[in-house]
Amino acid sequence: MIDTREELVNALSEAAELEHGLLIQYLFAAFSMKRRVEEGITPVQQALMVDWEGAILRVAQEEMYHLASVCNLLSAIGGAPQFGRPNFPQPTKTSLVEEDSYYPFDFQLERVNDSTLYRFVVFELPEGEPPPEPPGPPEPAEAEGAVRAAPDPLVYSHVGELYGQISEGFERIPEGDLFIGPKPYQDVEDWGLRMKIHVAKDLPSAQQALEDIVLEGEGSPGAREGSHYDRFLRIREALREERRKDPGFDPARPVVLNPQTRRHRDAGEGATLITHEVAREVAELFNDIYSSMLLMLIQYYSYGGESAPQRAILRDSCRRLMSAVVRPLAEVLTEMPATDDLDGGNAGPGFEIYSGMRLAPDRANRWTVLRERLRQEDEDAAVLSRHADAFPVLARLRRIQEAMRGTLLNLATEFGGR
Amino acid sequence: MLRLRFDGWFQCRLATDPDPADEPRGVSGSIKALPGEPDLDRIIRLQPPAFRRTHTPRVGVEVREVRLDGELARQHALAGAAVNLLGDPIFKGENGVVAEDGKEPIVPFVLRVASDDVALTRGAPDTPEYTRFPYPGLQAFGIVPAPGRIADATGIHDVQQRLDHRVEKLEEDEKNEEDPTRLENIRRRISLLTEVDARGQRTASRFFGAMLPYLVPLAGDGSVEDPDGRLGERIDLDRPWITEFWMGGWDPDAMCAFMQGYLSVPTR
Repeated sequence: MIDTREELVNALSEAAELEHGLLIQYLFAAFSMKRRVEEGITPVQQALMVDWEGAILRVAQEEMYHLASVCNLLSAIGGAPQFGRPNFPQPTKTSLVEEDSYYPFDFQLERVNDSTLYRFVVFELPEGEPPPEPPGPPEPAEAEGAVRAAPDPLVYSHVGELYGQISEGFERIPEGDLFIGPKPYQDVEDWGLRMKIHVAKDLPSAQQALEDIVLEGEGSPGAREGSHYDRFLRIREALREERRKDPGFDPARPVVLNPQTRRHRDAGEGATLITHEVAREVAELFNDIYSSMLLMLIQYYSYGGESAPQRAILRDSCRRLMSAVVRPLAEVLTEMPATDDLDGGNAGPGFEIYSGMRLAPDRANRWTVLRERLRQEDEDAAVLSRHADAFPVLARLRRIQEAMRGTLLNLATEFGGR
Repeated sequence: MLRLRFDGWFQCRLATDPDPADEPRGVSGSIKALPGEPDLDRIIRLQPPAFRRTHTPRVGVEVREVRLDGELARQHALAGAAVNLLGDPIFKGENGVVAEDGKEPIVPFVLRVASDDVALTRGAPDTPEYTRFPYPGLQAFGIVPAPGRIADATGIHDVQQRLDHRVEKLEEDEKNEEDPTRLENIRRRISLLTEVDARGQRTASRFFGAMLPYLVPLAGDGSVEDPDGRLGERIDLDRPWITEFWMGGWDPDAMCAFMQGYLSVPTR
């Protein structure tokens, strides 16, 4: 039961981790899709996959907004933004004594296929709705059993249930005591995508935020259309239909499961090490840029004294990096070999976090660190682009570098380029 | 002073935000390459392109009027000349890294006006303002709502009717098409042209009434090709030429917009 501020902060922090973990799994699956007819698909299937990728990316964008809304809720009750999360994979709890598992879900970075879409439907499964037909063997463990095994005081079997408990927690704690966060410390921007981040300033607005997050994921009884659950169900059915017509149809590149550049103490078993040297270096560059983006988000949501123009630069840089750097680099990785023998499947974006990220206390230093990181990442990209003869897909690095240099110049404007 | 007024439709098959600028098919943005079509490439084409969707405007920006020192010169060698941008120019917004929507610079910027006998070519100045991030000298002045001017320039006073007419033609094509790729292409175009947003407005006509104004001094490398002396006046390459124009009337199905403007060229 959630009835203290600490428990509510903990639960919201877990919700933030969940949203972050979900959206990355969605991004990974979307980026794994085949794009060219030369990859063994017809022009009509190519268009179909653009539809699916677009739909999955849209859900991922909405999860980003959920994450932002949860950060607003945390801010409203005196908590800190949560952008940390354990590395992938985080397998499902399979027994009552399993201690390694983290979530009551199977968190994997997996290329798009029937089993991936099954997991996505289960993530967004509304309470009371029958689970979808499982894919063929190996059968995924059922989330319900996993919940009973959870040692954590937070016991839930689907995302909506966690939000339900958080909602009850908000009701239990007196409103006057709970909302101690400064009102300006709320993100009210739409981040250029015309979507709504919820502002939480009191109990009704907090409850509305929670209700809308659940509604967007699950829909409501009798009105599931357009929810994340509904969209994943439809893509899964469309994939199955396409396979009935064309049994050899495979929508995804042969991207390995949970690609990693190194072992992580906080990750479970089931990762695939990228051993091809160039691919590993590209993956490390990707992870580094992803972490730079997370640092910007931490800085943006921590309200640590940045002026409004500085906050705008952080927000815009983050948004632009997502489109102009993170996504193309992720796509590049799905076309690179994971291993030296070139038959071990393709690499992919592991979204690895190499070390804990926190807000530096000195404001000017935060900007110095960001600029140093981007400068180094730009240099690394320049070195890697020399391999474009062997790997033509690395020609995309030129444009990625331009975007990083532009971002660097934009970041330099507020502190005179120091 | 030689003053050329030009206009016409141009094509630009470009991925739009939040797709990366080099996205080849269009996934998250509003523009998509459809089944059987070549990849998107962002290139601004002022002259007839190799690929064009059926029932869409003819591409071609041309000189409509020539004035010499203010006097109309109907028989001038550049009357009816083709206006082009050289070097595969693109709208270089790069997801807002370079410039946000409505301010995207056209990079590179080298204008060429050529008839059978005569050609004038000149680029933007070779200075950082025009050659380096964020290309401030090449940026547009922002999005300007101008439905009346665009209607007058394009002759399209009821864009909805125009698009409905195209839908009718596509529906006819659909009935007679048997190739699955072309059929899917037609269906998706009809879907795009008939889609409505939350406010009930057709998404395909959403930006038709908006324009982006540009003004670019051309003081970079240039050339005058006039082997037979048809121009009659001496073009001054020591002073900057000025081009001012707007681009608007965006048609997302055609991936075309209209361009109208002037080129002012000093003479000796």
